Amino acid sequence: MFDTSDEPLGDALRLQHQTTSGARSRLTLLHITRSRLIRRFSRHRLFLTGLVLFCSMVLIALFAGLLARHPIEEKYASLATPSTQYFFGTDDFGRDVFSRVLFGARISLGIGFSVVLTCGIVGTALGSVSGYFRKLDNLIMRIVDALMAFPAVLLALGIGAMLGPSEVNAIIALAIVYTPGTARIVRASVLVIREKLYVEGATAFGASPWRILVRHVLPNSLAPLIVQLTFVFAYAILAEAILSFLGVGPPPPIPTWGNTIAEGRNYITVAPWIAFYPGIFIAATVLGLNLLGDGLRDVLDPRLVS
Amino acid sequence: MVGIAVRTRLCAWGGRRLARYVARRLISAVPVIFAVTFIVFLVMHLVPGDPALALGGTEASPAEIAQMRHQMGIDQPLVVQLLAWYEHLLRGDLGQSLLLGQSVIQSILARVPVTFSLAGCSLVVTVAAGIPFGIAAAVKRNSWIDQLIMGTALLGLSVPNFWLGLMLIYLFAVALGWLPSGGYVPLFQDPAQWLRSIILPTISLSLMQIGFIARMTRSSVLEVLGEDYLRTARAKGLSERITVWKHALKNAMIPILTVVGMLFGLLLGGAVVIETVYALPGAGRLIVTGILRRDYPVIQGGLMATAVVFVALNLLVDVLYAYLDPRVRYE
Repeated sequence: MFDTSDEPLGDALRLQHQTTSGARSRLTLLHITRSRLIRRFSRHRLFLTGLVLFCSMVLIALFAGLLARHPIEEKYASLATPSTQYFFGTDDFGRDVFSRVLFGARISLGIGFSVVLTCGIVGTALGSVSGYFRKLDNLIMRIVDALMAFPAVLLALGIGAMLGPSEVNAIIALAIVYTPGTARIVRASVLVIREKLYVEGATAFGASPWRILVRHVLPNSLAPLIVQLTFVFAYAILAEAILSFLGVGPPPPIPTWGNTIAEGRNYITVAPWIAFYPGIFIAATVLGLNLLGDGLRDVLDPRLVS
Repeated sequence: MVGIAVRTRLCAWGGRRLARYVARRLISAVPVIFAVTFIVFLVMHLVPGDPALALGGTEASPAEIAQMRHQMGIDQPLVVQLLAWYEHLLRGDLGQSLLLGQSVIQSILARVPVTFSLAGCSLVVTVAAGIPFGIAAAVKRNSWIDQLIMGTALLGLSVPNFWLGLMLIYLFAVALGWLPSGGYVPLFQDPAQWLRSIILPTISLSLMQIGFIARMTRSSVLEVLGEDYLRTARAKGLSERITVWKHALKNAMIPILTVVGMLFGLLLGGAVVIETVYALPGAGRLIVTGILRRDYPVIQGGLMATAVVFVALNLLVDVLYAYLDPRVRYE
């Protein structure tokens, strides 16, 4: 992740890096910075906790097929209590909750990742057009304001309900809701970076606006974007769970954490385990992402008070 | 005398600045509201295919579908629909619910007291718990108290509120039998029962926001604690207590207050799912049932109403900020 040559190094370092000519010194500088970054990350215990939590979820999602003990559609005894046979018990149809929760990780993380990707791309594009090229700035920002004038989950619910319940529609709904915030953050940092001395320097050297944007401005505004996207990931997982819970996410029999909890709601008095375990998985994933986000912010952007 | 005169003149000048700022903010809210209405209109036309067909299902005859299309106004060209939408909005008309046999405005207003009492209680709980925790964490920075509070806050931010609601129902209603699992008793009908009916929803809705406010408060207080004027306060021999309580907190509270203003909006959004979990007959549940039963005017009106409340709150918060922190007015 941090192997790219244009990671956010801080302005002082970047200036240094630009004034030193020649590949060798450049390499050395990057090398020092990279190892310093890694050291700072590896000392951040909460960041590491978050990393472990999140990576385990990713592994669970990837290897759900191997870890699941029963096929997700197979029906066994209805509402069986958790046991060595069915770790998380079975639901009203007699399906293994453990397997469904594992496969739910795949859906949730998949949707979360797609939302992050869309937000990252569209948000960066809109933020750059608005903040760097200063084109349509007013229009884009008014639309952003308007989209942010809705409670996020409610707007996503409305869009999701209109489009109809499906995985892709959940992604579209959540991306529409979380892109404005991302665009605003990209715009804010681009606005600062474009006034920097090294941008002026690059302009003086005759670099094209595009080149300056891609080589200098965007890489230096990466830190807040990465932090924001980590939190967007967390919000998206929570919001997707709510959408699924309310019947606007991927519809049953696709196993999502949200719709499993919705099902468990009807059996909360007799079989609380159906709703219990998916919630734990949601909380663990979101906690992992929140820890990651906090850690990234602490390390990448030391100016912020932590 | 001269001093007083100068001060009053300065105040008047500041007041005029404030008035001008408020006016400017009000004007800038107009395009946002306009865009909001347009977005709601767009969202309502996202339905793939024919909403009348989706609504009528397979049993409806073509004549019935046509009748429904006419009733919903979707047999008109899009531009006509948009103009009609604005015309209705200007008259404060959000249309007629397809299923409730009531105007959307009426059905929302009838349910607002429930939503407001839930959001209001949650706001009180959130502020009463979140701010002291945040201050304690900041003052005892890096101690075990700080770590405990911040750890709990982060956990609170990560737990899905609807799931927490279900777990609380299981614990306090099913297993212990202390509190009702859902339903609502109006405050003026029976205050004791009202309280019992609102406790669990309030906790479920507040936990996440408490974590949020505690974190905000901590970083805001920490930021102020690092300011020069606090060093001055300490240097002139003020006790740590007076430094923190009189000098630091007053300044730290300004950004927090504005967040609290926004919080009410967030709580209104969160009420949507909590009302569904606890079967509270509020505006949020109205919107969710509207969504599930494809009552388009209700969804449209619900989105519109929440967005307007959101924008109004934003405006209020900005004005409050300008009032509390005069620097803002001069920007």
